[in-house]
Amino acid sequence: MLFSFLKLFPQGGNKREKIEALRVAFITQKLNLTADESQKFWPVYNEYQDKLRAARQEFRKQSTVFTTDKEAQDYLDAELLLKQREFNLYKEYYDKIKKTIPIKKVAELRQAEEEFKKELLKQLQGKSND
Amino acid sequence: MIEGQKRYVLKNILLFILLIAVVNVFSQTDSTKKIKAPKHYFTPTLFSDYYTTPQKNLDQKFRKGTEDLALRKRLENYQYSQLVGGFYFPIITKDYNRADGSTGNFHLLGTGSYMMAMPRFGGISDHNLLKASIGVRGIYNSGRKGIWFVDVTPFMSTDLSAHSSTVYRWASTILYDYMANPNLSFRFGVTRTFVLGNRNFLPYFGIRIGRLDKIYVSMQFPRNVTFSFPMGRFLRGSIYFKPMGGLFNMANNDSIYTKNKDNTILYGRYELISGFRLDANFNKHVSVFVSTGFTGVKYLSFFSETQNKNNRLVLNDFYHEKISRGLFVDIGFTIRIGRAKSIYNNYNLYETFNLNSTIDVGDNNTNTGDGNIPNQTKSKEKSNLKIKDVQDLIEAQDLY
Repeated sequence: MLFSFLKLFPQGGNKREKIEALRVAFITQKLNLTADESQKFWPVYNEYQDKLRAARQEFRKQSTVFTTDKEAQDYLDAELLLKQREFNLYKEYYDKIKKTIPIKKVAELRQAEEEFKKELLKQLQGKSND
Repeated sequence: MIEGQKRYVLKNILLFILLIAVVNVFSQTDSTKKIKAPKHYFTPTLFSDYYTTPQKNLDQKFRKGTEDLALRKRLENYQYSQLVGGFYFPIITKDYNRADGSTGNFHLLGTGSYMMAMPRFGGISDHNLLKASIGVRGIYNSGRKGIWFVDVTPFMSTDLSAHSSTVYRWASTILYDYMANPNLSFRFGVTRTFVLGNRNFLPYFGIRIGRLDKIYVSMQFPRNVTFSFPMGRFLRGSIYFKPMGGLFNMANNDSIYTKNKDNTILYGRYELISGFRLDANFNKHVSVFVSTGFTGVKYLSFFSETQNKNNRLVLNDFYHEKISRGLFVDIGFTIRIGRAKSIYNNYNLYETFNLNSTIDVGDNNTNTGDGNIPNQTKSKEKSNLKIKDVQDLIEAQDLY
């Protein structure tokens, strides 16, 4: 079964890297990309993910302890900025990805991403129940 | 008057630059300010490699073409070790998103290496021969089928153990890589190299069958022939043949060459080694390897600079010695610093990385390995997911 690999996280190493690799494997299988599509799609998709990750990491640098109103305001501004950036990136790369794979596969990509998140959540939930 | 006009023009230029800068700053909304994602696919990388062969007695028989039996007797025995350190770092990375959806990129890397060659002869003094290089390499990945690779490595060579002259040489490679598909690539080009123990201009031809993240066979003349296979997620094994060698300036303080009054001679060495190598890629930042095997064809040569003064091609030696087979040990590590752009499933970039490691920095034919190409394996280990591992992947609203 496709999702069985989600139980296969190795000990040690950079886990986030491995999750990214698993997501790549998940998307590859779901989208059934041809060699030509794959060659065009992955560089653009990787770039999108790099920028998305960088934006989220930058947001996480914000302090989550608010001793003053200004700190609370800064946090909310940063969150708004993150949402804007995410949307802008989504829009920018939606256009770019459309050039690399058929539109049907773009839609399947969104579904595959959502399914992958759900599987990750199931894994986390299973762990918290242990 | 003229001075006043100059000042007026300068003032206006400065005002114009300031205006452009201000407009530029205010035209960016917060959401479009550049996100600080990694800029390069290559990270600054440091590597080191130690290679050694055991002591061998020199053949005491006279062979045709080697004029100096007395020198052979004087040298007695031979042992060789070398220590290599080097680095490369990205200077420029440029992506090209094309209308057809493909993404090409150009990489300009700065390179440098330091090599200490330590030949040891029983009958003469010890020599520590330094070879140091600073160079650049450019790689253009079209994002389709082709990759161009150009490397220029000027280097200096001198003997640190005794007074000798320093010589400046250069090695270089230019080649074209045609990747028919992720399972098959061809490389064609030319290389000016010293790894065969002489100054050679050679054609470069390479073929790889099999994916770089799985099992593959790669024949890269004159660099190596390799059968490489993943051993789990972190380990990669390889069985290989490759030449190891170099050409070094060596002080003539032991009067090895007596015909002219040369204070420096050239020492060339060449070994065709075959062995097994195990690469451990602990994470994307640190890789180590250990390798051992046999030296097959192995020889050393001495050359006179004055004898080869007008020779621009392969150097003619005045002494040539074939050394008997023996074991070798080669160990090394690679450290990659900082974050890089993601390369998942980007086989053009896998090929680009492999090109960069196959044509090593410094023309010593050491190999940093392909630690940044993730192995494709079926892992069978337990889950130990943590929130921090997935927080970039999950939205808060996904939780309800």
